[in-house]
Amino acid sequence: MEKTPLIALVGAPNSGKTALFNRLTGSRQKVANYAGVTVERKEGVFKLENGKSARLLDCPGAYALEAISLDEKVTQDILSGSIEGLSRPDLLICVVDSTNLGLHLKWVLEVKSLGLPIIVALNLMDESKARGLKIDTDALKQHLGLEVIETVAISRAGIQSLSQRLVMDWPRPPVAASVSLTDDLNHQSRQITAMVVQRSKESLTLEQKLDGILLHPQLGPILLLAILFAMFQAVYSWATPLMDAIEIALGMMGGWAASSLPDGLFRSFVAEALFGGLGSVLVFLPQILILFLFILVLEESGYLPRAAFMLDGIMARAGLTGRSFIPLLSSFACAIPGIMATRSIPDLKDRLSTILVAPLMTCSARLPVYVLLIGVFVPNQALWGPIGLQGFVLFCLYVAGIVSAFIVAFVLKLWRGVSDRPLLLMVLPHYRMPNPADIFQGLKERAWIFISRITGIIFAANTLLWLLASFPRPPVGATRPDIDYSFAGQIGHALEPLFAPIGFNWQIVVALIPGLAAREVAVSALGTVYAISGSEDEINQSLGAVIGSQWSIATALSLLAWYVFAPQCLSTLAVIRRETQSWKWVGISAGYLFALAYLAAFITYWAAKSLLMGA
Amino acid sequence: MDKAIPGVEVTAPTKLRLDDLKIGAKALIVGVKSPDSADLEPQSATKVLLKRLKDLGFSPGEEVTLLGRAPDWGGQGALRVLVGQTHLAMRSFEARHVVVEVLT
Repeated sequence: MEKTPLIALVGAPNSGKTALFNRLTGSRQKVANYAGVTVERKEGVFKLENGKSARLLDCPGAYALEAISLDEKVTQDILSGSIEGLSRPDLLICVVDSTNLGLHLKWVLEVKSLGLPIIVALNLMDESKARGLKIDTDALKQHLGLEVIETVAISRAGIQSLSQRLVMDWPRPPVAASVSLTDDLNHQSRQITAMVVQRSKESLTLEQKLDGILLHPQLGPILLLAILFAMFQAVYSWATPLMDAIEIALGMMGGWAASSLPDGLFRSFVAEALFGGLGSVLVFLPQILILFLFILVLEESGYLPRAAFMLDGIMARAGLTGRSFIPLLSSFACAIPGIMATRSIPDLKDRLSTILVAPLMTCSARLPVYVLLIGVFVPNQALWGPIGLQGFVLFCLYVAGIVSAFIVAFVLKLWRGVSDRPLLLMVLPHYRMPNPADIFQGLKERAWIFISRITGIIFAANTLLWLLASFPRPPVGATRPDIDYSFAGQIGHALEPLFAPIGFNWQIVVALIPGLAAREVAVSALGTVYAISGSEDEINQSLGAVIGSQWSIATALSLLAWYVFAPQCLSTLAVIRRETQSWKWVGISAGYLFALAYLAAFITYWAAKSLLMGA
Repeated sequence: MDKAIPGVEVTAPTKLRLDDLKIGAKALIVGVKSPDSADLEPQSATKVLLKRLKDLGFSPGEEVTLLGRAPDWGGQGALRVLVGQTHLAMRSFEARHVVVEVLT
C-alpha cells in the first residue's frame, strides 16, 4: 500500500505557518500576530492536486534546531523523527517571513543541514512589497539551492503554486546537506539577504512613528490603560441593547413553554433548569463577544507584545519572565490555552510560576458572574463624563486579578530565590491592520464555543443540579419549601456554616459546587436554585431581580471578591496536572486559590458590613 | 591594510555593552559574551541566553540600533533594539551580553 506522504510546516515563530496550514487543510487553528501561538503539533490532511492526500503537520515556531523550550522541542523531535508513531517528514515546507529574511534564512540554512527535501514558502509577500522591499526570488532560489514559492497565506496568494509543486516529483529526493551547523549561519544569511533584497524606501518609518507614540515611556502606559478602560466600558455600554433583546426573547419563550406545557416534572425542568438556568447564562453572549472583539483586534494588530514590553519592568520585579505575558494574556480568554502557552518558556521554574498565577487572570467564564452582580448591585450611573460606574467596577475586578497574580508571583520569586533572572528576548512583530473577515471568524468561533459550553458542560451540570434540587420530593405534610428536602438543599444547608462567615447563603453554596465544572455554571445554578425554591412570582422574575431583593450588598461584594480568586474549574486543574505531570502542583494551585478566595471574601464581607452599618 | 593618515590621530572605536548605548545610537556588534564581572546566573542560564541571542541574529558584524526604553517602574526598563531588520524587546541584563562599537 502506498504510504501517505508526511509534510511538515516549519519556520521561525510568527512567519505564518498556521495561516498556511489553515489554508491547505481547511482547518481553523488559532492565528495571531505574535510569536508563540502554536505550542504543540497540529495535524491535518491536505488534498493534493492529483487527488491523493498528504498528512500536513503544523510545527511550533523555532529559531534554531537546538531547542531551549518545550514547544521548540516538539519541532526538534519531529525533524529528527524521534516521536513514537510519527515518521520523519518526507518534505519540509520552510515558511519564511519575507519582511525579515535576515532572521528567517538562518533557520532555512540550519534546516537544510538535515538533508530533508525542502520547499521554501516566501510568505507575507504583500507586507514586504508594502514596505518597499524588492526580493529577487530567482536569485534566492540559486543561493539557497532550494525551491522558493511566494505566498500570502492569509489571502491564498501563491497557495495554488505551492499545491502544484507538492504534487510534482513525489517522493522527493533529499537535498544536499551543504550547510554545516558549525558555519556562521547568521553571516551567510546576512550575505544572501544583501544580495537578494533591495530596499526602495525606508521601511520602518511609519512603524517607528507609531512606536514613538504607543511605546513612549510616559504616554505609552497611559494609552494602554485607556485602551483597557475603553474595552471594559464597551462591554457594558455596547452590550445592553443586545442583552435586553435576548432577555425579552427568552422571557417570551419561557412564558410560552410554561403556559403551554402540562404541569409536572417536564414543565418544571423546562422552566427552572432550561430558562431559569441556561437562559441566565446565554444573555451574557453579547458581552463575551465584545470583550473578544477587542482581544482579537489587539492580537492581530501586533500591539500585545508591545504592551508586554511596556509592562516588563513590573513583571521583572514580580519575578516573571517577559515570555509569561502571552500565556497570561491568553488566560483572559481561558486559563487552559494560557497554561499550555507556557511551553514556550524555557526555564522550568519560570514556567511553573506562570502556570500557578495564570488562573488569576480573569477568564471569560467569570464575566457572567461579574456582570450579573455588578448589574444588580452597582448603580448604572456616570462616574465621570462618559465613563460609567459599572464599567469602572468591572475594570477594577480585572485589575485586582492582575495585581494578585503579580503579588503571588513575587511571593514565588522569594520562595525560589532571588538570583534567577528570567529572560525577555522577544521579537516585536510588525503592526498589521486587523482583517475584518478574520475578526468575524474569530467572533463566530467564540460564540460557538460559548454556546457549546452552554449546551454541553453547563447543561449537564445544571441538569444534575436540577435533579439534586428536585429529589427526593418533600414528605406529605411538609411545611418548609420543597427544595429544603432535596439533596441539593441538604448539601447547601450542611455546608452553609462554613460559608456563613463570608456572607454566603445556602443557595450560593449550592451554586458554587457545580461552578467547579465551569465558572459560569454558578450563574445558571443560581438561576435554577432560585427558580425551584422561589414562589411563582419569583420564578417569573429575572435572576437579577431575585438576588437584588434577597442579598445584601456585602454578600454580593463578597461573592465578587471570591470570584477574583475562585478556585479553578476542573478542566484547568486537569491541564495543570498534564503540564506539570504532578498532582502536587494541582493541590497547591487549588489550595492556595481557595484560601485566597475565602480570605478575600471574608475581608470584603466584613469591611462592607462595617462600612454600611457606619453609613 | 590600513594606512595612518598624517596629522590625524587614530583612536580605536569605543567598545560598549549594548545597554550602554544612547537611544537612537547605531552600533556594530563585535561580540556576544557573558559580562566579565559578577555573573550571578547559573552557567546553564547564561549558555541559553547566549545561544538565543545568536539565534536572533546577534553576531559579530551585524548592525544594531537602540530604539527606545520601556518605563522602568522603579527597576530597569526593557530595551527595544533593531538588530538587522529584527525588532526585539530585551532586558538590560540580556543586552549587557552584547559588546558593540558605536557607529553614530
